[in-house]
Amino acid sequence: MKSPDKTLFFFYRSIPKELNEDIWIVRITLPPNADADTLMSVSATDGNEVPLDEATFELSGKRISISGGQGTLPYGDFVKGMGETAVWMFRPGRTPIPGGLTFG
Amino acid sequence: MTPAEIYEAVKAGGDEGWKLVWENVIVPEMKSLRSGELARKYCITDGDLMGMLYEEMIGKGKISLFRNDGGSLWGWMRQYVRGYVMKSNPNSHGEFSIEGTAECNESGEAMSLPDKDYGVESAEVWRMTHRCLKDLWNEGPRKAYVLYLRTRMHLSSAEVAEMFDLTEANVDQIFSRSVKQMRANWVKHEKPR
Repeated sequence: MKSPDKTLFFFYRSIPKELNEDIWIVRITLPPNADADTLMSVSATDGNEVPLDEATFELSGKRISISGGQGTLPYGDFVKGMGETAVWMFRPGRTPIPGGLTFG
Repeated sequence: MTPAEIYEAVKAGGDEGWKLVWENVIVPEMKSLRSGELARKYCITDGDLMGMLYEEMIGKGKISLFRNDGGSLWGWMRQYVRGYVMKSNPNSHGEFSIEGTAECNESGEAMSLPDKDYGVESAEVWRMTHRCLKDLWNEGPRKAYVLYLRTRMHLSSAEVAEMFDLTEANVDQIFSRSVKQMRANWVKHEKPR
């Protein structure tokens, strides 16, 4: 398991919501030549581009803590859980909102 | 058979006419240096092209746009296939497009392709693309990731294979099936015109 010699980005987005505050947008960055232990950086904002805080992002069967708009996910865990369809954002005091992979 | 009889046979959508389409359009186009090579590069098989052409010509009725006034039906259909292959470049503009026609032939002349029906705004295309991607994801996230990495991130099959501990052949197969599935999803969600 090894990533290519270039930085890769994965974009995820919530289902459409009326209020920008309810929308979430996640960008995951995979560094070049990553192996199973390399940490992917997870960046999460709402629809107003405000970083999410005290949130939990579920992807690949893992729950990633988001603090100050940032979190991490080991590349190995990302690949191992690739078959999991659930993509959710949990924020305190709000209903969890599902989403999915997007092209950008 | 006369050209008129051939046209009617193709338009009827039956085996008689479409055996001729295979022999006179798909096989020669796949043998051509230009589109044949590109089709193989983009993992588009002759079966894919045959299926696409049948869907467009018979399913969507675009065979009726051919001006049956002496021009070559085979030349017209080959240009259609050529345009489809050209537009299937997964590295084009960083977005995946499964709808397209060629605008000019190799001589630069405008072609009388049935492109008048492609009046989809780019925002609608974007929306539809994501809707189709969501369906693909629900069938299996790996398919969506392979499609994404090959088209949006411009990775080769070998690079994707190494990322996910697959073989290159696996990746090609998954990609080819994902492309087919996206096309089927598009047809499913497309509004009738």
